[in-house]
Amino acid sequence: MFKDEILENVSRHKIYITIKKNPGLHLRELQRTLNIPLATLQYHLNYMTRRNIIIEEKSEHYTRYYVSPLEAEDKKILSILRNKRLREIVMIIIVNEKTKSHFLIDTLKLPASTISLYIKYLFDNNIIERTRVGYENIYTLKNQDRIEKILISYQTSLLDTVVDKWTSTWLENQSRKQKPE
Amino acid sequence: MIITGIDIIARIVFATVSTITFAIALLTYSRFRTKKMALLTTGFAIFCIHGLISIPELFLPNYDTMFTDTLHLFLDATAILVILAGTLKD
Repeated sequence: MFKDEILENVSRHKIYITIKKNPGLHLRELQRTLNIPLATLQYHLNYMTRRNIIIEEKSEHYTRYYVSPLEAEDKKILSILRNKRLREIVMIIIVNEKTKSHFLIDTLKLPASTISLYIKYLFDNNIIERTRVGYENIYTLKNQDRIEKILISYQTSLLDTVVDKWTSTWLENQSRKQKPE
Repeated sequence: MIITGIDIIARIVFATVSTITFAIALLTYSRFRTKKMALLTTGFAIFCIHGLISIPELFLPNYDTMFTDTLHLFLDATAILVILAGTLKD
């Protein structure tokens, strides 16, 4: 399930980047460029059009596609999601719709204190919200459509890799166990 | 003070490396605004400033930073102390 979702995201990302590089491409051109089955391509294009990730413009013979520009709020979230770990946490929440911190600890193999720090950061920046159920917190995304749009438009860079390594060096080397939030 | 060739190389390398490290720390802080990252960035900023102020002396004979060896050591110790505080901060 998780792999499928990620692969879908990778396909959408490829489509998004191709449209961004070649604004105004129509369906057949896109299909030739990406070599994706037409039905699959149409499914992804419809998905992204519905969520306003791309814009479709119907002309006489063709439907042309353009990327939808990111808003100021999107750019703020994008700068936060440039961090690999934060992106991974958000992806886990998207796939499972909701998650507990214990699941994140087991999946990402990180200390509870580090996961707690990342969760707090996402919560403080209004990306996730929590609901208390019994003794545990359940985390969900605040605006899933917006986050998905941002994740699809995200392009990794060398600078991001350097910053990710720097962050993990200083934040993820804590062996001390701490009760998660 | 007599400045030798090795002195020039050492100062330029120190200034370059400390500036790159500070730039990465600052970029990380701009994306991940926590007290821990702020302390680490401050520590590397001190190293960077220390590296940069030693450069003009190489090219301007009349330039004098008035920095004694003790003051240089004090600056480095402060930077290390701030980085240590950042490392230990939760």
